[in-house]
Formats: sequence, structure tokens, C-alpha cells
Amino acid sequence: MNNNRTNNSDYNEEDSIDIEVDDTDILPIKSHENSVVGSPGENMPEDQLLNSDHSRILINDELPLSLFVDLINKIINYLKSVKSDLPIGSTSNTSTTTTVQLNSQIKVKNQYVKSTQTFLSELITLYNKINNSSSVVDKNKCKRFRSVSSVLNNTSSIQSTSPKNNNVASDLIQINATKEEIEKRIKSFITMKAFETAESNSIEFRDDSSNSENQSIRTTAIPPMKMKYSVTTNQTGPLLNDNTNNNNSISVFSDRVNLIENHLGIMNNNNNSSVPKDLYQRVKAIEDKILQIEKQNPQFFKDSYNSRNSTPPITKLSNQTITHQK
Amino acid sequence: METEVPAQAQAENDNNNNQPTNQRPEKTNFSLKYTLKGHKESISSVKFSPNGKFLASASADKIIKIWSVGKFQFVTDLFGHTGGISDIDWSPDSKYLCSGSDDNTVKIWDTHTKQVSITLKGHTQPIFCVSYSPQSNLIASGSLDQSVRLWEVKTGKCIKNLPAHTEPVSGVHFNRDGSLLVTGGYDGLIRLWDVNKGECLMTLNVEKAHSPVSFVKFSPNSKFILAGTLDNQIKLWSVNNKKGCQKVYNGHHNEQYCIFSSFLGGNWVVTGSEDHCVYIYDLRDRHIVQKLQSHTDTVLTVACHPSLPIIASGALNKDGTIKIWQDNITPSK
Repeated sequence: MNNNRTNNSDYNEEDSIDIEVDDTDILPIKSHENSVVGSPGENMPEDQLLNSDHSRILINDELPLSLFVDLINKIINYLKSVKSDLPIGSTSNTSTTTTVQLNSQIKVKNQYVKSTQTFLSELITLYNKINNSSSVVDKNKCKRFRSVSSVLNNTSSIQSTSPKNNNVASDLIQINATKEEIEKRIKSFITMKAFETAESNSIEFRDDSSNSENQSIRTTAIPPMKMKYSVTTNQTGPLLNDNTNNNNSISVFSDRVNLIENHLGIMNNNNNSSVPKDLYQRVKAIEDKILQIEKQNPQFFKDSYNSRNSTPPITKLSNQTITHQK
Repeated sequence: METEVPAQAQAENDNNNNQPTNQRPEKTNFSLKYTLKGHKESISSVKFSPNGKFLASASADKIIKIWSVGKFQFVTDLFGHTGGISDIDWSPDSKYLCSGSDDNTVKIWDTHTKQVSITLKGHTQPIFCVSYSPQSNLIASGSLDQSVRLWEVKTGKCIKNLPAHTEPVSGVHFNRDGSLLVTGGYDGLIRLWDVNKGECLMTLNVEKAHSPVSFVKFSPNSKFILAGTLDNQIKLWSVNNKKGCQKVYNGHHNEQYCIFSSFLGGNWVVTGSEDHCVYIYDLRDRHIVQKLQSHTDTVLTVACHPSLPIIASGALNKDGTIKIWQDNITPSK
């Protein structure tokens, strides 16, 4: 309301502000609706909207405004006439009056009655007119409520279009669709896929196009299944000793022997010889090396041998070798 | 058929197969009685009406023919489908027929007026199999589009669309009280459905889902399911207890076509075969009781009369005839 007053300088316009406020509340929303439906690019500033609406309201309320002005004038005139008549009324109490005076008094009274009558009739018509115009206002009010409720129903669409409402949220949400819409999309996707598989079935199971005219699906032979089931049960695996793959096991074994040789420092001998040594020769070299180490450091082997009598020391060594290198 | 239910139940419960009871005949002696010619293409399905008065036959030539039981005279044709017909089923009151066709529709026929009463549209691919519910209020249909649809007969509306299988559905059948539905598909699975809720209650054949299921059917007492698979086998599954597969019937040839099987009374299982024969198995002993030879092409469909020892069989288009076999020695029950 305060905003409206600052915008409106004219007094007459402000006179009918109680009616206007309702209307100004209505009409911008109406125009929002229009912009949503018809012209999405239309984003009028609020001031323009208000001004344009004011002009319309003034046209609507011209009649009651002029009537108010008339009413004021008539009241003033009436009061004037009554004032002029008042002394006559006050003198009517006097008993000594002539017939001429009486006649003149009757005349004056008739005039007074006439003027009051006309004034009253005018008041009644004015009252009726105001009532009619107020009914118009009521209609507007009804419209307003209706439009507001419809706006509430369409809040999502208005929010997405109007620049003021929740711009950030609409940017962040990538799929601007209601739950029903998304469910509809999922459903249509499923039906589409079902249709596609059905189509592929018809190609797969009745591609005999030459005879398809006089066939039914039951009388067409089913082609041999393109999808084969094959179950593999592994009796042996890479962790088990597989004697059939001798080459592989030798290569793996020689790798491990290489590591041992490398660690024990027998590597150089191997590299120098052009002909690769036999595995047994290499193992022999390792054994010799171990003996050599044992001679130099007898305590270590003694301790380990005493701690674990059963386990052979070579396997233990090989395990240690691998972990140390890495 | 329901009068024979106790006999069958007793037969199943009796595990001593070595001692045949007095009531149970050891052999059948079916012989060819009639050959019905008229269809111009492969016979896809033959069904006796529940009242035992008519035989309906469907064919890939888009026509359903009705024959009278007795002398097996031609009664009428039912025209209307625009595609070959794969399956038919009688309503329990024997007045209506439903048929599934390659024109993607199921039609309900009034056999008196010979007109289509309702056409059920919804499937997107040819219909493979149809089944009338015992209350005759529902029709189930399985299709190449992998779905099973339940239709309300009164309104013709599809009330449920079950995503039953991941391959074409080759068999549907209601149980005795219409509360359960069994479906079989090329995905090798047999599924039991709650008709009212539309929920899957059980899936059979899970462990060895290798070969496609070509046919499923409840036993007359609905305690067992007879299912054919495209590995030359017919299996009898128990519905209630979890013993799973009870019997396996080997001997016939079935690898390419969805061949019908049927219970004959309480003692025999009848099936068609790709070696042009009709096989009769002993339900309990599983051995071949009789092999009927006369057709000249794959016997796609067999049907047994509800009360008389009569078998009807239909074959593919090189033969294209329906043959009626009658048991001479076995006393009719």
C-alpha cells in the first residue's frame, strides 16, 4: 500500500485506493500467467506493470469518483438550502401569522420538501450505483482469489519462468520434471525396450519369411538356440602341480633359481657361460655356495637347524630371498 | 475328468510300481478310427470341448474348424483371424472358444452364432498359447513378446500384463480353481503365478534351465505340472511339496516344435512327436505304453476326450490332417 502511495501523486486516484489495492494485487499475477502461457520472453519491470494496471483501474472507477464529487456538491447545496430555510422553520412556531405569510411559508416548505426529495432520490441512486460498483469490485476479488489459487497450482511452472523465484535451484536441478513425468518416462522406456525385444524375437524365431504367410508361430520350427550354455569345471588350476605343462614349470622354476643365484652371488658365472647350464648343475652350484656360506658363518645355520629340525633350510632360504629383494 | 482325480492321486502316492492294482490296465490298445481332412495348412491345436460333444481344431490357415464327437462330422468353420492360429481353448461351459493368432490378437468366439464376440488386442507379437479360466471370467495368453496377459472376458480388457519370461512364452494354463497360473517359456523356466495378485509364487527348473520349455499344463487335480522341454523330455513336477521333478518321460522326439501333451485318464501321458508318431507313456512307470503311427509329419498337437478313451492328434502341413484314435480293449471309465 505504501508503495502505491509513493507512486501515485494524484489525490483522486489515491481516494479509491482501497479498491485499487486488490486490483493491483490481482493484475500483475494475471500478467504473469499470460507471460507463462503466451509470451515467455516478456519480463516487465514491476513499475510498468503497476502503471499500466492503474490506468485500467481508473477507467473502471471513473464513475464512482465523479459521483463522489457530485455528492459533495449536492450535500453542500442542500445544506445551503436548508440553512436558508432554517429561519423559516424557526419562525413557524410563532402563532401570529398572516395568510400571505402562511402561503409564502407553504411555498417555501414545498420547495424544501422538493429539494429534500430530490436529494434523497439522488442519494438512493448514488447508493445503488455504489453498490453496483462494489459488486464489480467483489467480482474482481473473486477473480483474484481464483487466479491466486490457480497460480498456487502452477507454482512450479511460474518459478521456473519468473526471474525472481529460485533461479539457483532451477539451475542446479538438471532434470526439471515432476515425479509423475519421470515415472512416465521410465514406463515408456520400459515399454519401448519390451517392444524392441519382442521385435527381435519375431526376427529370431520366425525369420522364415517365404512361408510366414501360411504359418503360425507354433507351426514354425524353432531355430537351434544361438545362446549356448557351457559350464566349465576346473579339475586342475595354476596353483596345482601340472605335469603336462613341463616347459612352463621349468621356466617358472628357473626364474626362482635365478633369484636364488642372484641373491647368493652365483649370477656372474651363469652370465658368462654362453651355453645355458642344466638346472641340476645350477642347483649344484647353489648347494656349493650354501656350503661355502655355512663354512664362513656356521652359527646361523646351526641356529636355524636347531630351531626347525624337520624343515629343509633351502626352502626357507628361498622364501627369505624373495621378500628381501622386494 | 475330475472323477478321475482320486485315481491319479492314488497312482502318484503309490510308489510300488511293481504291483499294478486291479483297476489299472497295463496296456492301451488305441487304433486309428478317423482321419479328418479340411485344413489347408499345419494343424496347430486340437481341443475337445469340456462337455465332450465337439472337437475344435485350429490351423495355420487362419481357420478354426469344429467337428462333432461320435462320427466326427464337420460342423462349422470359424473365420475371422488374419493370421495363422497357434492355440485354442474352450470355455468351461463349451459355448465359447478363445483363440490366439499370429495377427497379435486373441478372439473369443460364440460357437452357436459362429461370430467373434470379443477381440482382445494388446500383444505386440503373435500369440503362442491361450487358456480359459475354470470360472470362465479370465483368459490368459502368452506371446512371442515375452509377456503373459490376463484378460477379463466380460469387458475384453487386459487386466494384467505379467512380465513372465525373458523369452517367448510357449505355455499358459490355469489350475483347477483358477487361482494359479502356470507359464513356461523359451528361457527354460516354469513359473507359478497368483492370478489375483499377479505375483510370481514359484519358479521351477531353475538349476537346469538349459532347454526351452515347449508346453506346460496342470494335472487334472492341479497337484502336478506336466512340462515339455526341447530336449526330448516331458517332466512331471510337483506343485505343493518341494520334491521338485517327480518323473521324466523319454522316448519321443521334441527339439524344434512346441508340441502339446495331455493326461489320458489317470494313468497315461500322451504326447506328439517329431518322428510323426503319438506316444503314450505310463504315468507312473514312465515307459512307453504305445506308439501310434499313421501321420506323415510332426505330430504337433494331441488332445484326449474328457470321458471317453479317444485321442485326437494333428500334424504339420505335409500331413495336415487330424486323426482320431480310439481304445478298443480298455474299458471306458
